[in-house]
Amino acid sequence: MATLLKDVSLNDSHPKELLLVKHADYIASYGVNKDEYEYCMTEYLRMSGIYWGLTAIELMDNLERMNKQEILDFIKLCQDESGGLSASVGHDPHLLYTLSGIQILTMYDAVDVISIDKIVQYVKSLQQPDGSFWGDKWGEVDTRFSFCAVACLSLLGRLDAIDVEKAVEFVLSCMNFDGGFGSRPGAESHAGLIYCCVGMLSITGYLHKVDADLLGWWLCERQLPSGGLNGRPEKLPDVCYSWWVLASLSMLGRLHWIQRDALIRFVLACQDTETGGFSDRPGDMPDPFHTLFGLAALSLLGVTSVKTINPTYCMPQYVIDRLKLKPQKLSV
Amino acid sequence: MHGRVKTRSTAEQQEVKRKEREKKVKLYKAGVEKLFQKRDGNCFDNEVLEISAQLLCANPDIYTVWNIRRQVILYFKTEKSSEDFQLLLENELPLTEQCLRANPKSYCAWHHRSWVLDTMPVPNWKRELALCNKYLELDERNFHTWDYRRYIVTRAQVPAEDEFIFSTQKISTNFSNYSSWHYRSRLLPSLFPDPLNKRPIREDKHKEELSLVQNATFTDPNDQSAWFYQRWLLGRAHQSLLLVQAFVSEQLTFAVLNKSVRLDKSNLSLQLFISNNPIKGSWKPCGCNVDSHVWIFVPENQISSGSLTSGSLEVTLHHQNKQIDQLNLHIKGPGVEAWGSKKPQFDAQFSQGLTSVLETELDSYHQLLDLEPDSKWTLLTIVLLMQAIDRHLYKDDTMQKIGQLKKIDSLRSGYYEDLRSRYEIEYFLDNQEKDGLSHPACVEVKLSGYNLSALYHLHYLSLMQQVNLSCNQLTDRSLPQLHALQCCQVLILDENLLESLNGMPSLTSLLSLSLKNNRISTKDNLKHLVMCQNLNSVHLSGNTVANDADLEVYLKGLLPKLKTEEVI
Repeated sequence: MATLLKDVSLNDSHPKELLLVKHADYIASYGVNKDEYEYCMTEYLRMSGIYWGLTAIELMDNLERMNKQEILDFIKLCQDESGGLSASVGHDPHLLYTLSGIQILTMYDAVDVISIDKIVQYVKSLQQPDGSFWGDKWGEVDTRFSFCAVACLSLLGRLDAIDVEKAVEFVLSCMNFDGGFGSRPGAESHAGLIYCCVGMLSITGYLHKVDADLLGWWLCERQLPSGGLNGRPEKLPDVCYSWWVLASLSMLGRLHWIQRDALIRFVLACQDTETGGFSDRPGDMPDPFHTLFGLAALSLLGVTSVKTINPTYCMPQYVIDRLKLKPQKLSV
Repeated sequence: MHGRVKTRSTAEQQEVKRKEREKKVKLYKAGVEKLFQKRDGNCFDNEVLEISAQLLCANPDIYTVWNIRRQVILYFKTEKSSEDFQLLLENELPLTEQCLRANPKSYCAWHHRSWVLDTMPVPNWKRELALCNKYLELDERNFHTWDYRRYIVTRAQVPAEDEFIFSTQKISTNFSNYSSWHYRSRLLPSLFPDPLNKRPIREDKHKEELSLVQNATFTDPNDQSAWFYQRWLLGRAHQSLLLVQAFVSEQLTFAVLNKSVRLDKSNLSLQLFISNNPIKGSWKPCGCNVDSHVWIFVPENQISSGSLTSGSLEVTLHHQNKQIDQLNLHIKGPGVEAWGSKKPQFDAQFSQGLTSVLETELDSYHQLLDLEPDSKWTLLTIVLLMQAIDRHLYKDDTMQKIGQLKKIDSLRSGYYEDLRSRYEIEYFLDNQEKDGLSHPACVEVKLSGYNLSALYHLHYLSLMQQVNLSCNQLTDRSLPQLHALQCCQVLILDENLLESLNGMPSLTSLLSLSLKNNRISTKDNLKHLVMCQNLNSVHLSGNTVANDADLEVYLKGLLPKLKTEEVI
């Protein structure tokens, strides 16, 4: 019953240089043709798609290539009477897209184009008596939404609108035997949800409640011989986990627990040399999601041709500095 | 988008695909438009259900379409008889199943299914549990299925005992199932809690689990799952929050806890008593975060040296207005200062019974290591077992095995370096305790030459006036840890890997800082020295920055008390 290690192998045909110009072109041209298949079929997550693209292109210092006015107008149209933002015009408001919208507006320093009080009201309305958050009025509970809620409110300087201690209590109730976190109490640890919970605790100033050595060990065990990181034990590596795992390690002050050069090699191997953009694994189709997380990971790893990213918010550090936010970070 | 392989195709194939996609886009756009129109017109009918089902089968993540569907269902609730409403909801189940077959990880489809069950007049939980069993046969790691199972188990009030049996079955079929081990770790503490509240589970069950997991690790030493579970079982005992050190003088008063905490009056608070009188003031965390091990007291009225001459000094710790710990202080000399200290506790504190089980395990894993000398998991477990059984007896072996791990598992060498550093510091503190480290006299604490890559437990050095951390591997990232050294007057950081002082905390007692032979190259990298305003000497020889002609002027600008002859 021997276990076969799930991993990929890299070879000389995979790219080794960072193709910034291609990636900027890839993001800038994404969605220019609004009838394109990929673009149309991802309408249900458009707001997040814009956030991924915008952050990626800003990390490459090409923000001016995005149509700012069009984006701001779009966000305005996505706020409904409940106050929340939807993924796209006509779709329903949801915390996921409310955060994406606020992140975009914050990067543009333009939060005033929508009603902030209504956003705050919307986020507040979704907190439950146990401290958790619903994603929208239909009642799904998930620690992702706890992150969305506090990230969104802290970017607006309105964290006091919710019961922060209760919110923290709920997130801590999702902590597991391995030091990690899942989506709900009792749910298995998963790097994506660990990022959300660690980020949530970093924003609210309760990161010291985490067993940083135990969780840090679990996180550094995500690195596979290919250099890539997976999201749970016995799973394949994926560029997006380069972000979820690295950002968590960075908040815990333990980024040096993974092997930097090996991960850089893996992330670079996931570039598409023809179209630009990053995919989840070498040889797969690229998309804006993996493009952002590939670049963001490189930024955390100290690749200086990419702007510095903040590990808690996944936004450029200078934006977080401008807002005078100091999300908690541990050290060792 | 995950796992979509990029494929090459002929122009002809591409054309076929293009047309196919064009058709799909048309259908999607028409469908969504129609749904939005009907919703805007409050037209909730079967057509909405039909169109939305088609759209969702093609893509179950279009969350708004599920919402519209639910709106229709709720509308029908008032229109239909209870039987018909039940039937309507029953029909949602095959739809979600169809969606989950296409995308077993669709959050929306899973959530819809639980919403349907909660909305249904007569939900059939048994059938749902059977569905979970079936799905876990297909993919035993799908965390959505596990989450759904826990939801069903709660709603149907399935006893934890039954689920424990289920997890045992799952593990015995395949040890390599992290999800099942995880589930066990959640069930066990509720089924068999430790009456002493020191460990997650009762001792007899703890032994059973150790045996089960040993069996698993021997069956397949390369599978991670069981090893993680084992590490949980080998963890140190739960330590309650304690006051470990305190210091009182005219200029500086602070208290130290064994854990980093946030104090707030309603929940957790400290109180200083001098001659049984509570002293008014506030406590501020040391360092740059809202939490700390070390809390500085800011009295409303300055503490006079007269009050340090006689009587008792005491600090108490309160949780929700109940005193949970206290520390009595010794007065060092009339009018000087007072301090108190408790011994740190780093032992795993297993009972004798458990320790003898662990000893047998250690023998077994040594045998396994003979068979597979490069098995990192076996090596690491041996380290953990040795630490759990008798840290001091196995000190050399621990360090040697960590060195081996660093070579075998080089991707994680940074982790092993820090683990070694932590153990080194723990051994050091244990040994110093015997010689009375807690006395803040002018003895130098010499944590030098240990190749430390990380700084752990420095709060146990908060009373010390001279700290020597030279000849280690310390980098900038560890500087914030120094915040605990509140009494430190002389700090030596020679022969480390510091590139800058970014992260240097505020150390008000610090008079002399030695940074010889580090890697500091520019004046700008020294700007955080401003955090230590009482510095009168800074030693920088052996750094590139020492060659800078303007260094002295720069430093004097930062540090008003600096003596000219004491630079470099």
